[in-house]
Amino acid sequence: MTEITGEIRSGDYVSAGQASKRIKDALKRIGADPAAVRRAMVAAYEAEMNVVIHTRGGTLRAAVTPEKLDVLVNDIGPGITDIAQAMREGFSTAPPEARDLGFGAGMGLPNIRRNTDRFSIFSEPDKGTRLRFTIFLEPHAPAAAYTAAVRITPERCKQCLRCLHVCPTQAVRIRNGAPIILPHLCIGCAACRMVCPEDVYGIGCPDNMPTPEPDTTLFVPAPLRGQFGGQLSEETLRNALKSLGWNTVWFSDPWESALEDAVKRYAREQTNRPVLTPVCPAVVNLIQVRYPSLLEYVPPFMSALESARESLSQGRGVFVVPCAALCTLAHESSALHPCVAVSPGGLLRRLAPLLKTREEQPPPSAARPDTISNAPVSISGIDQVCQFLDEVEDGRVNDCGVVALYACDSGCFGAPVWPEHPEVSRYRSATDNTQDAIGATALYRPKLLEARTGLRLDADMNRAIEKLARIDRIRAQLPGRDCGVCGSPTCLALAEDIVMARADAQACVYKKQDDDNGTASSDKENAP
Amino acid sequence: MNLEQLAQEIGAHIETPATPERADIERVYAGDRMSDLLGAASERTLLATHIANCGLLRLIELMDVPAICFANGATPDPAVVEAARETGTALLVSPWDLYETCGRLYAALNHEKQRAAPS
Repeated sequence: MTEITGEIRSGDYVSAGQASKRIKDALKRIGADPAAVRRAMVAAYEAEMNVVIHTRGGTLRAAVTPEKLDVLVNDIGPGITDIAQAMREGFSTAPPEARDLGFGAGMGLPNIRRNTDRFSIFSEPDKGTRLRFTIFLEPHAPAAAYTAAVRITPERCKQCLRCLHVCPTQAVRIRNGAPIILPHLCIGCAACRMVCPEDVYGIGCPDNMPTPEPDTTLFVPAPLRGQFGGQLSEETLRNALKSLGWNTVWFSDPWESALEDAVKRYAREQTNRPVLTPVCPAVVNLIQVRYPSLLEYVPPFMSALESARESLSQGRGVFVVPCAALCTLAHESSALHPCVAVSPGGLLRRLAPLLKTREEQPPPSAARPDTISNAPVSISGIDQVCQFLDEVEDGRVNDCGVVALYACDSGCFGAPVWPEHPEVSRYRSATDNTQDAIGATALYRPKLLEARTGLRLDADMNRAIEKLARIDRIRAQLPGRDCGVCGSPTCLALAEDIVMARADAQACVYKKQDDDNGTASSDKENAP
Repeated sequence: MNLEQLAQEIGAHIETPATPERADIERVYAGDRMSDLLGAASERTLLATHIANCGLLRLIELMDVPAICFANGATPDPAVVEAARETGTALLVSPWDLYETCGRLYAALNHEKQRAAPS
């Protein structure tokens, strides 16, 4: 990794762009794709000009790694009071001297949005603005970024096929006696893990805690408080974590509350349709994969974990994550504030001896944690979520207002990683300390959510249509039992796997039996 | 299209010559907003604009634009000429207004496309 830093002076139109120039030189020297360099230059220079035009000065920091460029621009200035308005093309508060030079046309932030792969803005009125963006340096890198954060222990699999049938996006296949996951379909929910009797599935990150450094921030989910045999005050847990060396600890609750408040304000403007709060990233992934037409129902805010990740202003972040979807989000961090995810097992083991003897009375005004059900309609469990989204997609739900959807039963309390019963741990996690000491906010999401790429059968539409026809022909010859014995979840999925060269044409045992008995002769004339 | 030939056809004067490998133009974009020019820049795009002041410096340095054409006979700022020399960006000065300049550029490039297309 190489780092570039630069000062940006207010009103200095002539030397603005020098930091961008240094980034360009670095990118050229490592041989980055020219289109990526151009996108980086548009974004970086626009960001510098924003500081020159609108603020009292600032700094730019950039980190170049082989995969991506991460940029962080901090300024001291008036801040942006309405980010949604500032993101609109043509909205500008620039002075005439900027306009004379061709700047200040209100296209800066929209231009940054268009030319970046990740983008976040954090702004405090009268203090300043922090802008972060990422550009992938190799073409098609964003599509490759769907890595399923699910760990598989293949030797444990007994091929009971439960995971195959329960996966809401049909991402699981059994090949050579063990499951594999198609990353472009996996949404990181825990459905497979939940039904697996052999513990084949886990979260794709280590569970032993890294060594804390003085400037590391630890982010822990609220359900952690409910895992120690009794009600714990936030303070007790904080002290225990401190004794393990974690001095800066952010609980997820204030970030979740901030998101909820932001969505409630946003929802006042929306009528006649549900507002699908992005509380659960697995559900957001589900919408991107299976219900892309509903993406516009998701309000433009980052999830609690993303807002916290983008708010880190010093050092590294360690995120304790209860599921694969959150694990993926934690890793989508800037190289300037690198974050790692850990699954809770290791921390639970370290904390248990410290907290065992400290059962407490419930705190006086114990509030239920916000991690579920403060929304008018709260739905949990992947089946129920899919049923609801099917209904919304069919146009049968035009009311409901704010809706919270969680992939796990009982929300994050029900993630299979937790040893305690979800409702017991919710009861025990109740905290009296709802004050927001760290300034948790819900960050506006400047880049819109998009349907996932990689679902297409072929980049070429003619070939894709041909493949579609072949899939139909092959499916017509399959028995339609959707038994999963072949290792694909349905006969249709098997037909697609055969066409996409992910399965053997003879994989169906029932079709083979029928063929051997000569009972399916009528299909044979249609064979491809 | 070769840049010298293009300049000749539209009746523009070459203020700063291009480096040979960057002399081939396929596309033209005209605008006076810096964000638009930044967004439209590519290695085969000629930018036509009224802006001739030092606001253009970074556009030249950062975006690898092959050529910029100034309308209304505007002479570019000396700092802009200097930057263009360093990066090998061609600077053209057209005596015509932006509308006329673009019309002539369009006609010249289109004419060449038709000649290049197999009949």
